Amino acid sequence: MTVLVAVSLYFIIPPSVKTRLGLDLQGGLEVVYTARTADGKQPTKAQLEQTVGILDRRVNGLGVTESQIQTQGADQVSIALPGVTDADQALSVIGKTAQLEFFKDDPESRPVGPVESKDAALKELRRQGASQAEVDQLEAEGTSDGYSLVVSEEDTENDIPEQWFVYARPPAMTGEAVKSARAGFDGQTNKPNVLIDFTSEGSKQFQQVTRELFRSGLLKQEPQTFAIVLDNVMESDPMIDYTDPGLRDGISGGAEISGGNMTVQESKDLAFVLNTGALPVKLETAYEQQVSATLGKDSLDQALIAGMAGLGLVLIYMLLFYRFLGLVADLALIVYGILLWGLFNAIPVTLTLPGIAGLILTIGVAADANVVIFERIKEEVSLGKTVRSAVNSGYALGFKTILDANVLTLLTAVVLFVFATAQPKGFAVTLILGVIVSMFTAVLFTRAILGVLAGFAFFNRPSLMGVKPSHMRQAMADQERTARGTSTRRRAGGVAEPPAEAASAAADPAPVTRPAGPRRTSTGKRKKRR
Amino acid sequence: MSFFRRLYQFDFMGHKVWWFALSGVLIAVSLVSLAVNGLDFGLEFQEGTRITVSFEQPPALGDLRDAVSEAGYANAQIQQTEGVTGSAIEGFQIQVPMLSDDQRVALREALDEQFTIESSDGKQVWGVETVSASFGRQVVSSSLKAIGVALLLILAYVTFRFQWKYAVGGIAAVVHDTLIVIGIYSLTGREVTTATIAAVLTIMGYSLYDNIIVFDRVRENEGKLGRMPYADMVNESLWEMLTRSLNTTLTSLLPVICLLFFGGETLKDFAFALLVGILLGAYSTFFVSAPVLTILKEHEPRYKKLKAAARASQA
Repeated sequence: MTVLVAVSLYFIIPPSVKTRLGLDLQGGLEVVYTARTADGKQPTKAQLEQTVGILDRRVNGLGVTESQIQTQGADQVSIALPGVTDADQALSVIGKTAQLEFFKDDPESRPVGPVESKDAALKELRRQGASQAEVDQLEAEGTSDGYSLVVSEEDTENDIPEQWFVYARPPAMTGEAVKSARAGFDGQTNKPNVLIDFTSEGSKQFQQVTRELFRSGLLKQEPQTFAIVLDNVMESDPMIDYTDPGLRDGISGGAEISGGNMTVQESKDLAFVLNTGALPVKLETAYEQQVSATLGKDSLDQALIAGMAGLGLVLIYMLLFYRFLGLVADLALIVYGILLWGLFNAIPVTLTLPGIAGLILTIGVAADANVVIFERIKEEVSLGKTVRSAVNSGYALGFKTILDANVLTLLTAVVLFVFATAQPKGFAVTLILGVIVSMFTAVLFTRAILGVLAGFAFFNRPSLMGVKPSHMRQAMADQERTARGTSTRRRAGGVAEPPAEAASAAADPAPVTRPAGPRRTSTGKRKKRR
Repeated sequence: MSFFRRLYQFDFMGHKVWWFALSGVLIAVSLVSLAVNGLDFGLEFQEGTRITVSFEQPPALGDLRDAVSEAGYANAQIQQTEGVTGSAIEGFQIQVPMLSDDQRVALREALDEQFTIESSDGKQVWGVETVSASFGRQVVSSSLKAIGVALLLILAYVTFRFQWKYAVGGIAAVVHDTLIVIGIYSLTGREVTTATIAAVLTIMGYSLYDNIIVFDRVRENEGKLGRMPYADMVNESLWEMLTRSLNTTLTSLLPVICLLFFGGETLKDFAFALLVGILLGAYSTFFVSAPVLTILKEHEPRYKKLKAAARASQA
């Protein structure tokens, strides 16, 4: 036991470093995303796991420690980023699908556009003979089996309004061709841009695409363009100059994305997501919680004050009501607290606000384990048993009761853990651990202490147990009466107290269900007395 | 003292009609209120965004409402959150329809410009919670599933360890407690959050816990005091457990009351449900489950005979 306490203390000290706080206590960001494939279907398990992998890389890139990313159900991913400082920036990076696509801008590849609205683009596509189902899907998801709906954002500087296009799938190239990306500045305009290096396969593709554009430009005597599209937004629309003979064989190097008004931060973010790879799915926010560090600190302080006050009151109450046994119970409660805290840090359990609530509740449960046992011991002492044998039998009987009751609490806590979403889960975990540790301390700690104490002569006084002589007489009389089976049906008010003489004459009347221990233990006590 | 003395000899089972009447009335009121008022479901069960924010100079509620309304959210629900003694953050909760990242940033900037959001260590006091409709539905269905499964498991376990008659008594108490707690939420118009669901499940567990401790004694006395009429034997068991029940209720309530006074918003909500639940749990053990068990048991031939014999000797 001492060893356990020592180990626990090792895990506790120093407290600020070792207890893992949930984001509601230290501030941070929690998001639950629902994943959908590009055409709006539920993702496969493999896709979901791939998503978690990519998100993990992105989150690590943000420099957040202790992040947690896990799948939840068949199509959700939850991300917890405790301590993240700029939640908005983190969100813009994490949840981006980052599906990079290259489309040629000829009439076959781009059946519709530019038009001024989404509706106009969809209507035009329908007029060209696409099925209504396909158009509906395109409207809802932005991507259908055969088409992609793409928007180019408003360019205030050059006074170009928002424009809509429909491109035919599949694209000429995808993000798979990208080896790496880095943020930089355009040599001529000195505006932020993103430079892309292709893989060797990607290079070949890119060279082929640009060569084709050069040739058709030459044929039509008109410069051709292609679109670089990220998550259905046109980022760049570079032109291949057919009059430049140097481009005859296409472009062999990398490509450059230079949107109209990209900020430095945006270019960095874009390079970052391109480097971590595209998600195989689209993520929609299902639940999101941002807590600022100050709010978290405030909640933590309040919870700690409440917890300490609660613990203090219970300690005082137990001491007042159970006197010496109360002192033992208080020690047990403190040991309970140390063990539980140590366990939390060792596992480690992330402590959340509902978790602390669960913890505070378990103070009551832990105290009750002692109350039940002590009441039992008091009863046994009232019946005239020696303290030592009362401790033994009180323990055996009391613990049986507690076990059944605690198993039920555990059952509901486990149900809560299995079915509940994020927040109540933390509560369930602390409740489960609390109940287990409280039974553990009741068995090992309280029992051991009482067992040792019962060996001392001074301990064998009913008053130490909080039992008054009058209680004893009453209890023994009751016991005798009930054992005789004469049912005296008592009503409130009309009390007939049996004479005290009858009580003192009563031997231990109901030994049937009790372990036969009194005589043996009382001799043991005599030995100690010499 | 004389009150306690009487309590320790009070004929609990003899008055069971009254307890059932009282519980019946409470449940009826709860059900009527549920039908009429319904429940005020919190953000987690709906769709929307809730922002928690505090300002350097707390503006008047009306001014803030105007500002939020000007930013395009005329239907926003705005609440002032209480300051807590000691580390006071007096702030506001603003609930608006679900916001996108951009909309949220825009609203934050608008509010900051007008009232200056309080910041410490260079970080603004700004919390956001966003819930989509599908997530809300998911929370509701998983909560209901949890409650259903918990009830079934309890029934199975108590039947296995005790007897189905005990299980029926226990479930009666649990349903009684749960219904009344929900009824109180409906009557007082308190917001139901996911913390409330967790609290309700805990109440179910606690109510059962209390029951089992007393049932255990009843079962033990069944063997020991086998020649007594069942109702008398249950009374006897309840008297024996009275001190323990009062003490346990108190030791469980003390921390919960502290939570209610010192905890923040979430914890207060939680503590309120638990406070009501623990009181009900202690009540229902004595006044719901024990009487139900007694009625079921008194139908057994053996206890029928004992009851008749006791009547005869009394007359």
